[in-house]
Amino acid sequence: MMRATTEAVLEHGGGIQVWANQIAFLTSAEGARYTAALTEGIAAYRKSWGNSNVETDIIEPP
Amino acid sequence: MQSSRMLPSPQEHAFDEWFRKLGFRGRHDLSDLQPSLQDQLRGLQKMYNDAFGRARQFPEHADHLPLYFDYIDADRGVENAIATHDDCYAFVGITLPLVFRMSDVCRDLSHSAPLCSTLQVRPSEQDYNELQAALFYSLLSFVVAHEWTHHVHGHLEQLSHQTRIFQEISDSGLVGGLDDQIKELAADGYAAYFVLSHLFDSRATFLPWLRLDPSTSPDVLDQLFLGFFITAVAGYMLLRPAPDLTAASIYRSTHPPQAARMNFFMREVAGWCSHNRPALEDWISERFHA
Repeated sequence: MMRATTEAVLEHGGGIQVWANQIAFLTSAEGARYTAALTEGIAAYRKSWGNSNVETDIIEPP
Repeated sequence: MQSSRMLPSPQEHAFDEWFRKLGFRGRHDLSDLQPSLQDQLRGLQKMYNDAFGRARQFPEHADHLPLYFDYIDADRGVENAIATHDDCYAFVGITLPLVFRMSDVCRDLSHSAPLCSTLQVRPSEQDYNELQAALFYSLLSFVVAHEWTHHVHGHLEQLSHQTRIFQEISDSGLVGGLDDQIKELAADGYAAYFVLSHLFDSRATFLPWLRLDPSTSPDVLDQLFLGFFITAVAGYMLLRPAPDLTAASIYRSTHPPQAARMNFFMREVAGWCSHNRPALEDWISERFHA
């Protein structure tokens, strides 16, 4: 489904290749370090936001 | 009486003045659009502003001014959604060019044979069909909720500069950092939770005009609505500028690259499913491989 979505939106102007390049970068060692930094950052954000230490309290809908 | 109806409300006036200061042409009053389109956009605007007015105040939410959503008058090609505030109101603004671009992306998606096959829907042949409408509604709701999150999470107050603005699509160059990217991911996740809950809670209102088979099971409807939402948001994320990534530049962007953003968005969607529709967790892992 992601592929169909990507192709429907990016079929013009070389967009598919841009997407493929991003995937290639993110699966590299540098990309893995970047993803880990974001993952740690989001976890820290959730702990600090609203002074709550419970992750699900932050994103749970009403 | 006639002329009093034409006067802008205090919110409209403030929105117009503030966005002129930010370099736009102010508020778009929609008057030069086709009447049916005016009605649709005004109806959506009223719905979002009513939702802001009714929104429950969570203890975790940052103090914020009264929220107001409206459309920004901008030059063709200026596609942006913005969270900002003046001294009286917290604004969520979206440029008309972005509204039209989102609508066109949803039209393209609704006419994609592979996508319709995967979603197992057969929309009508009309250019702007019922699937386009469902995708567009899901997407606009997500964008508005994303900008709303910047306000209620207090992101604007944490800015070290004076612009008092969070902007969505336009690429202002490498002026961001990991903290900015984390705020964007947090806004995506919070918006996903609220919009998914809204879509699933109120989906009965969609069913008549989606013209789905009345015998469609609740489980299949769950899959359809989740598919609509993920597809629309994925199409939207792909609109952002996509520079070549390097180990240095990736940490200096305002937003994560689309593929990373989509990955974190899907984690949040999976989290929502885990809490609310556990049966959908396997379905999304089967259907949405990035």
